[in-house]
Amino acid sequence: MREEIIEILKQIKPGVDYEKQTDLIGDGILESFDLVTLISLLNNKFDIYITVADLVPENFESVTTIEELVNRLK
Amino acid sequence: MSYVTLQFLIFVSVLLIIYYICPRKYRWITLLLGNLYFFFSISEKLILYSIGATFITYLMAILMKKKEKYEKKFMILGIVLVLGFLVVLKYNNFISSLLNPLIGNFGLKIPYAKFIMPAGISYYTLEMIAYIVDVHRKRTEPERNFFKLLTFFTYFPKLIEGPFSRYTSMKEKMFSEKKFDYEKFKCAWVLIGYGFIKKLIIADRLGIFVNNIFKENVTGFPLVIGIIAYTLQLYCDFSGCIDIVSGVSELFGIQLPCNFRRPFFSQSIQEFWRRWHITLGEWLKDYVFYPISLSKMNMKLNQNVRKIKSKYIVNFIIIAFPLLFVWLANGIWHGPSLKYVAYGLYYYILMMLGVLLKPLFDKIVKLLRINTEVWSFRLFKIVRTIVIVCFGMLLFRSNDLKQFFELTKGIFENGIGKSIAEFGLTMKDFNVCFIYLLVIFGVELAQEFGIDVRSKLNEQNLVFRWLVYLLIIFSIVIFGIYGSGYDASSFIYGGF
Repeated sequence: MREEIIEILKQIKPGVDYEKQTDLIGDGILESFDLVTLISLLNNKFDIYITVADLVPENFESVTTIEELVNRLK
Repeated sequence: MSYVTLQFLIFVSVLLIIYYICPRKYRWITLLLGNLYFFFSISEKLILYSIGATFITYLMAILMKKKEKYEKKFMILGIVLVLGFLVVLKYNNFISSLLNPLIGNFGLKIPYAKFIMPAGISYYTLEMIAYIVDVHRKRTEPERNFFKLLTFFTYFPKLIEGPFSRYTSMKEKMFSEKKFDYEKFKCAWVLIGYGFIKKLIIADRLGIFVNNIFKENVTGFPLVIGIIAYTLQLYCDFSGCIDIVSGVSELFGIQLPCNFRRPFFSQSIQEFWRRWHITLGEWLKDYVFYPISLSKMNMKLNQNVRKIKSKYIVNFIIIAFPLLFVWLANGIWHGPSLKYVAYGLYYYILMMLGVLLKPLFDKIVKLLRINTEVWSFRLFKIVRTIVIVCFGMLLFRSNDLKQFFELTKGIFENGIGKSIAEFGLTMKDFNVCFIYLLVIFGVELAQEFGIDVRSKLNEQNLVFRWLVYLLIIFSIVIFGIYGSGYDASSFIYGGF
């Protein structure tokens, strides 16, 4: 799953070493449009539904936190 | 009571003394009493609307927690009720003018009425909606103490012009038993002085010129100067007010959110709106953009458009729908008029064109081997953004769409033979504006390079610091506009 998430992130914003990033939103790597695209792709890929309530910075800080969110919703 | 009156300074000084004499545990109560006094001094018995709206907000949040089965229904009810106040008081006649021609065919009519709005309703209504939604999203627990919630919504520094604040982030700052911080107290006065310079020296001075330009429907060069002057006036007026109220709030040890971050250094209009009226943009993002983007309907649309091969077209379609609502809301929030709707749509269309044409621009840049990382190209982007913003401000300032189109045509016509010094300001006034705009530019340039100007000033020796303080005070006293023919208390954004 981790690799799939990284693949999705690279589609949205290539050229970033996502394994090393710990604050994707705070560091300005993912902006609001990117987040919407990311959520749409995650919903499709993993057959989940990420809502606005899940849209807190802590859930999208890094690949690890995104993975945890997806696992929680599956 | 306006923020730039002696009465307000006396009110703040007295409240400060009472606030710091009071035991820390009960200081917020002195704030509440101060807020209510300030509110009453402006809106008198209309304060009851605000107290009523706060009670509805308070009650709905409590019920959302107590009756989880009906949580969403209470949330919707709360939003409908508080928004209803705003819609009826502010937009009734606008809605009537749009709908009456249509429903008149069925013998129906929405009556026109003239309502007086309580101070700050456009601001605290959105804050109430944010609070209710944050309770629903479990970002905050409902506040059990009605008076604490009332203290927040009626907080006098942010009442008239914002910034929009969130209860989730403000409650700790407002109600914690913090110690008096002398260094921050000193710095706060510098921010207040800086705000007064922007408002009384620059904004109110330029306002005289701008009012005459737009009254006389000039054309050509004076009109272009008028548009630029209005853009600067609006910025200095609004950000100056925010500096004053932020400084006042800091005197009480309460930090308000940042509302401006040097917007004229922006390289695109997206960046501009992340630096201008930041808290409104954040509110629209969290409570309009995200809920619509992440709705089941929009997610389904996303799924279907993914079949399209072009990444740019896909991105365009995904964001076009929610962004339309964001920009309509932005426009409408500013006022019940088609020109404000047009103002919102102006930025929407430009942003959507930017997304659609990005592949073409990228090709042009590649073909012409343009280096986009050099300072000259960045400067070009900054100037381009400023031109776009200034044109938007022409729409904002025009009385209506008709005047906007006339003035747009007027930009390209010959001037009427008058020099710019014949519209209420002398060349000496323009020189004063220019000098203080240079000061503002210098401060913002330093901040753009990461320098905390106030902290740096605080580190200097006593003599230098006091030289700066006295320069600020004497500047305001000598060059502030105090004469007749203008109204310093009429902050532009207070009208919303």
